[in-house]
Amino acid sequence: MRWLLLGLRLAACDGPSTRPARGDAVVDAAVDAAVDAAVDAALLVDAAVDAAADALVVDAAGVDAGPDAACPPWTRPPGLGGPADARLTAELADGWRAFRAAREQERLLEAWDPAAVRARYRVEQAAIDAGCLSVADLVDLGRGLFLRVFTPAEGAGDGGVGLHRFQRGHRGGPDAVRCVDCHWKGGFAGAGDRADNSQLFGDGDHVRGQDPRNPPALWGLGYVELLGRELSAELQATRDAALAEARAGGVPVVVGLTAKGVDFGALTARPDGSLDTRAVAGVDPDLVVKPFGWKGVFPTIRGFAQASLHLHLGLQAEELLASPGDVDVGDGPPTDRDGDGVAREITAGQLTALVLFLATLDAPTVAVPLEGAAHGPPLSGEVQVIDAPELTDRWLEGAQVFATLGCPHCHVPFLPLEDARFTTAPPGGRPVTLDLEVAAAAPRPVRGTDGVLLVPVFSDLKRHGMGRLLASLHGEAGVPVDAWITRRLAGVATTSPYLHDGAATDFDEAISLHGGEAAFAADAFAALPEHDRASLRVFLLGLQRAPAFRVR
Amino acid sequence: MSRRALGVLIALAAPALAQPLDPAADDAVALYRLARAEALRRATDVNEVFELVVGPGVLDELVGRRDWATLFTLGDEAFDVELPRRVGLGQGAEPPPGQPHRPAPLHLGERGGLDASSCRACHFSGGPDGAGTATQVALLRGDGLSLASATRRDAPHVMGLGWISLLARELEAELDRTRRLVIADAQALGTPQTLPLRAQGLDFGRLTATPEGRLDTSEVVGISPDLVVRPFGHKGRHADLVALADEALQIHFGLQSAARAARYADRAAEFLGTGPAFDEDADGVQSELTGAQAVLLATYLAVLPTPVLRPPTDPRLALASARGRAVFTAVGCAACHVPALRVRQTDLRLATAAGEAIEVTLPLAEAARFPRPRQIDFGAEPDDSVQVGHPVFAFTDLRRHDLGPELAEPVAEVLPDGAGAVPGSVWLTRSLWALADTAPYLHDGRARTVEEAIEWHGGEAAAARDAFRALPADDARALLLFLAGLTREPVVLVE
Repeated sequence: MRWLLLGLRLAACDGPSTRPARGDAVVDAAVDAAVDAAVDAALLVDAAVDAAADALVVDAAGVDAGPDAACPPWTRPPGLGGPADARLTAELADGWRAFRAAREQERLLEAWDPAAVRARYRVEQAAIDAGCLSVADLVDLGRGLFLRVFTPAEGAGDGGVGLHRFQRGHRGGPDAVRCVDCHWKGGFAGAGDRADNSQLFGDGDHVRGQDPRNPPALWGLGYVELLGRELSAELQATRDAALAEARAGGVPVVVGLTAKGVDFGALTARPDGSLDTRAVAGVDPDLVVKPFGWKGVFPTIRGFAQASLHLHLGLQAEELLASPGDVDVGDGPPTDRDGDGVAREITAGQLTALVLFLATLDAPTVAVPLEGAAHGPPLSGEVQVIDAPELTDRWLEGAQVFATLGCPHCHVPFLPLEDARFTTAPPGGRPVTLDLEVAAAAPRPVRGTDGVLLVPVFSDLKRHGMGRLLASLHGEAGVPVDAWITRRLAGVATTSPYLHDGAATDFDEAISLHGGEAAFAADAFAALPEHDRASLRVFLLGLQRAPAFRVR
Repeated sequence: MSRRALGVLIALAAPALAQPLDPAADDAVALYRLARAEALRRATDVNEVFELVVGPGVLDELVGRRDWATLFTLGDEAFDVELPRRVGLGQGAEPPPGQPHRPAPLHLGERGGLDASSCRACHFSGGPDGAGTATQVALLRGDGLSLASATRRDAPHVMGLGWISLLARELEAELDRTRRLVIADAQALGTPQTLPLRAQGLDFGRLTATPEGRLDTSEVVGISPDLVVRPFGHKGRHADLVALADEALQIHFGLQSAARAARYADRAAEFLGTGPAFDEDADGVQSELTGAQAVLLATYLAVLPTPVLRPPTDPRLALASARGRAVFTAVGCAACHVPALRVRQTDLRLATAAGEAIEVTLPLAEAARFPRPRQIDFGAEPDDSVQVGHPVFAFTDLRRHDLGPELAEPVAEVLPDGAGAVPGSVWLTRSLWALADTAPYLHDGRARTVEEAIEWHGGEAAAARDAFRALPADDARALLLFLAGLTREPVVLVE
């Protein structure tokens, strides 16, 4: 962790409500700055060295802010020192213990001095731009925000009493008080239970009309966003080349749209620069792959995080209010659309921190089972975990069944990622960039023997018509009721229930309910002998998030 | 998938343990490996007898040989397991083949719905066996159509429930002594007699008996006229853990027990469903739940550890917290949220109410998990009887109170065991242990902070609320600081 002392005026940092209570804070900051100025140059050199050592790219734009002013005073919330690996080491167990203990003390402090604790979670994008926070700081802050029970004083809720468990049209809930409450299953930042289903788009009261959505797990999303970007770039390059060719040749040009081996249909480019996108498949006509949301409506983590904060917690990000698009943000004054008396509920800096926390979560793995349980005599209470070659072999069989059924047609096991540098920025703001291959929590996707970075995603990040039985009640952003983006199976082992509404309690039910474009696979599954179904289940249980410590 | 790709995968799955861990972490790793191995076993053998299915012999044997560890493990599995469809999840006819069996978040009357995958699903916030979150607020007894028709119930944490059961039985026993005494007095004296009902210093009103042995319970307060202390449910709904588990299994998962079928045989359509007698919820699965299973779950709940009281480590804040403890008493919170009641008799009997007769007796002084109340043999004062025995710091009096119109529901809650109804504005004093880990608060989870929860208090608690409002700022935050120290021991998990 590093606190880079770089230029920023105090006033630029925070609103009056969260300014430190102590009257001499400004003086302190100035003194601190003077003292630290002496080591500034060294720090910057250190930073460069450490950045290489920690493999954290602090700022893609270069650390170029002037070293002549202090960063705003800021007390770090309890953290784990950056992304936390999903590994079972003594250090990580101790780290989580210390984190739990520090959070308990912080909770006590918050009861005594709420403003002091609130200020820790309030960071401005300007401070990030100025290099005042390391990536580790940002990830710790993001984790803290993910765990935080936001209070009405911070803008949580819409000023009304209680929550709206059934949402009201596109206005949303609020229906929850913190992120982790619905993203807990199968591990930290995981999925939600059936009990956590969002009830979207209804009238706030009637069951009919509510569109249930099961909260998905959040692991490995950084890689998914990058894959989406690369897919989009490839598709758009093809389109642009076709347009150029059509213009040059004076005749319409038809091109197949393929990216990373995934077929997205075809389009026709006309000499006048117009496009016929009717044959484009699985992606919007703008050829932007949007991997997030069950229907695939958000291209970035930043986008869905911002929407979720609004829909579920009643926290309206500054940048949402600046350009709400077709989101129903309410009809309050421009700076406080939800009318709860709090403006600037989520700063761009807070959103950046949350995005970086999510982007640097560990990636789900493909774990071949090596162990099984051996039970002693009934009621002996003896259970041993022993080597189980028969399960390992079962898994290998299951992988073959997965392939034979045609699942990988849409649930593409691995997509190759060319560039693992993840970037997020508020609209018009400076990007923060980090290389997931070194900066994200382990386990991370590994490079194959041919040097290609293989992201186990088990999806083509493409939308498919799944038939009438799986249709939702409402379309979303122009996506039809029966269209869903291929559910990423990475991490699926521990995230039941399945399907968008959590209707399936297990793999068999989920598979059997596939219809539409995937009806062939469900039919093939129905014809399988039980032995092969079991093998498939074992294979799917291998798609898991790596076990990790957590101290609750 | 190609063999080359598999090579990569197998490398990924290499064991992760590079160094020895501490015992707690080691245990967590072992539990994880075991759970994973069990999941794989279930995947390959769907005919495996389901964990939740235990016969009465199992309980008898484990209790007989005092194998509390195995008993706990069995219960823990039952509490955590993702219930598969084939055990009889849900109610009503199966959907046509190929159609999904949709979740039912909104319950249909007393029959319930299908709103969660496991017990753990709504008892995990703040840690294992914890409370429910805002989204996990149950929507009970609705018309199946409209959210407004539902009774909302925030899922409470389930720690220390065995000790709460024991407290209830002790209070009840004390009240019962008064009941027998007043009847005897009335008979001996030949005139109606009235005695104050008190137990462990708590006032339960007055009881009058006639010489003929008839009781006048019109002046009984805080409990139902039958003098049964019902410490479970926001309204004081259940007297014992078996009934609690039995009902929860039906209304959240649609798993019906023989005991429940027997108890509600005459009101099957209301409580059970419209199916035939052997499968009243008409989901095609018979004998969904044995009495032993409900007793097993109750056993698990009974032996869970208790929350703890952890003041701040910063000595200045610790002193402020002490001040908060004094404020807690001074403003009147402690009149209902009684810090500690004591348990003297630590054997807990758990039994089915009807149907198969299953019964176990758990000696909680040895069977319960740590932390657990410990034996204290002396009080600070000779008459400090509360401090003698096993003091249970649950911060409740286990009585019902009228909390005023703001918290009132439009309808009274009819108790399931025929003991009448609890009016809309009347609530059981919520135990405050583990308060800090169990937001949101109040019966419907409407309060996201402790301060909001205090503000909602009315009726009998209006004076305490007003006293809180009138507190100097430093006293008010000292109180909140004290309450933030009502927490639980950390648990190391691998997940």
